[in-house]
Amino acid sequence: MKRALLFLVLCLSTPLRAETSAPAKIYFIVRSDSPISKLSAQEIADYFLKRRREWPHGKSVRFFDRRDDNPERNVFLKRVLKKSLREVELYWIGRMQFTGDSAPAQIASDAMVANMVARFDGAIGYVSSDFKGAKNIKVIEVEGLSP
Amino acid sequence: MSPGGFSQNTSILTRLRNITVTVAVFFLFSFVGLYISSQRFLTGLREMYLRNQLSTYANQITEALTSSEQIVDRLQFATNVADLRFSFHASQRQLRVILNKALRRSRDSSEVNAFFRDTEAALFNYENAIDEIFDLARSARAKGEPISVRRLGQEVLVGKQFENDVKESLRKAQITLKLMSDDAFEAVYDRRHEPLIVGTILALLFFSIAMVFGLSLTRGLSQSIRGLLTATDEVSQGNLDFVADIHDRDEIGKLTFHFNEMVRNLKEGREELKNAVFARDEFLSIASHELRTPISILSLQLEMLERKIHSSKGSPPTIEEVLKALKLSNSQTRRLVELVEDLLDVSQIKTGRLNYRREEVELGKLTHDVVQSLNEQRGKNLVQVHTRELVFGFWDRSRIEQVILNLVSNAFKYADDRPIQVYVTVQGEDALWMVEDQGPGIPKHRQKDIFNRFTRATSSRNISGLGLGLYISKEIIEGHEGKIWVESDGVKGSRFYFRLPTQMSPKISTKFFRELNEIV
Repeated sequence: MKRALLFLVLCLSTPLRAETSAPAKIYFIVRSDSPISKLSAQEIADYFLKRRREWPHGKSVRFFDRRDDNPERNVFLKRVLKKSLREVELYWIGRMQFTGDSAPAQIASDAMVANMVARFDGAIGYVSSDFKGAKNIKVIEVEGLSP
Repeated sequence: MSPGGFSQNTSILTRLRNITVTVAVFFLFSFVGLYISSQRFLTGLREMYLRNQLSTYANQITEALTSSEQIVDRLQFATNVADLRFSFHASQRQLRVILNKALRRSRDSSEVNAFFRDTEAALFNYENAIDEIFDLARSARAKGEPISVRRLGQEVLVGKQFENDVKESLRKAQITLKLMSDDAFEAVYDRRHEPLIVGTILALLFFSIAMVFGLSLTRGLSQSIRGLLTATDEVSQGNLDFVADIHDRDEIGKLTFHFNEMVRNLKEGREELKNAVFARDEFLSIASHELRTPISILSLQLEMLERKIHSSKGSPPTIEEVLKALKLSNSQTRRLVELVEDLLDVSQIKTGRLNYRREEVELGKLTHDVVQSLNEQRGKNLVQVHTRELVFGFWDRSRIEQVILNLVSNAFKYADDRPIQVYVTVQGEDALWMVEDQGPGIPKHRQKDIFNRFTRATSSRNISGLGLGLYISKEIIEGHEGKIWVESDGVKGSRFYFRLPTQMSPKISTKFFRELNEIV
């Protein structure tokens, strides 16, 4: 019963949100020699929030975030993390307080993200759908994105 | 081995010493046990301390890294890049000093050491990245251009990544250290009751050992003492037949043993006394009888003679009659003198006043003379003397003569007119003298007693004598440092021997020569 109600609420709320934030598409990229080819949204959230610090093959995760004013960042927060900007800020303040972990580096441009991902082993980042022509990177599939 | 089979191993002192040694060994083991127990504690504490120290190093490295980071952050506003670079490297040098300490300290734990090595590698990359930034800034300054924001941003981002790597490996090291420290603490904390338990067990052990030893010792002792007490009670009430039990072969056991010996000696002494009194009474009756016989004969003869002289009817006694009476009286008087001399000798022996006048004596000749006079006196020729060689020695002639006379006349007395053989020989350093008769012999159990005072082998009254002869002979022979003994199968015949040293012992010879000098 509850589940059905929730589903109904979601169905009703989706068109509203779609109207307000004009979603752009983002791609998640890794270095071309990485064995990763497919991730769920939940996994990406875990890697981003440093709940998981290493890839399944043992390399440590280097997450490259985008600046707060980039539209890709909003898409990332909304569709993958499912958190507001404020929530994420508070989360990192808390992490800093209790474990000393700081937020991932924030990069302004698609090109720089591609550059960094290509340079570091175990790196992951996201670029806008209209970014093209970068060497040594590959796009991975992401499942379970919020619409 | 002391009398009664008492060895020193069972003495109370030895037992006490054993207990002391046991207790000492026990204490030693206790100390070792407690030391090992506390040693484990101290090892755990040291482990904890080491982990905390390494953790502190990791913190210090993180702090130093932050200060380096701040130096790099100043680059955007700085005018002198070289100064900034110098202070960055100074900060990094400090950091490396701490890191080297951590590497050295963490050598025993490969896991932590690996993390610190990762840190070192990441630090190398970080320094290279930052150096590149400084190079960029310098070359831009040299050209007089502003620094490319895009290039700088990229380099800073790279440097940031390596800094994160350093922090990440330090974080891992700290987590591992924390876990290890927790384990060490848990190990110490889990064993917090160990010294108490060890101490309690040791105390119980010690207590039981002390109880066992103490109880066994005191029980044994009290038993022995109680046994001895009972024995003294019994004996003091006159029960001389009581024999105390010996519980342990220790000092008290020995005491009990000696007490039993003393009681037995007392008992024997009493019996000896009784026997002595009995023997004395018997001797008195024999002596009075022996003395009365010659006296009554003497008085009878004298009375007869007197009556004959006083008689008015008859003629006076003839010379022959008087001579006969006198001869009889004379022999009885001699007999009395002999008896009295024997008694005198005995009393002299008893008071130790019997002296020997030593001179050179030939035993064979002496024996011949004595036997000849005896044969003449008895009018029979029963005794034969066999001498093979001359036997010289320094003895008291008259006393040895007395011994020979006594032994041979004893043989006469008991021999029932059967022949008697006397042998005189030398055996080694000693003269050996022997008389053999064919009389009734002496039973084995009596052979020891016949040399005592007032005893005779046969108590039959028909053989006269005081029973002192053999006693006197024994004293004389022993006074000459010789030995007298008898051999007899108790059925037929007996052999009396004596052995006299032909050489004088040093003690006697000095005495002899001193006396000789006085005479000369």
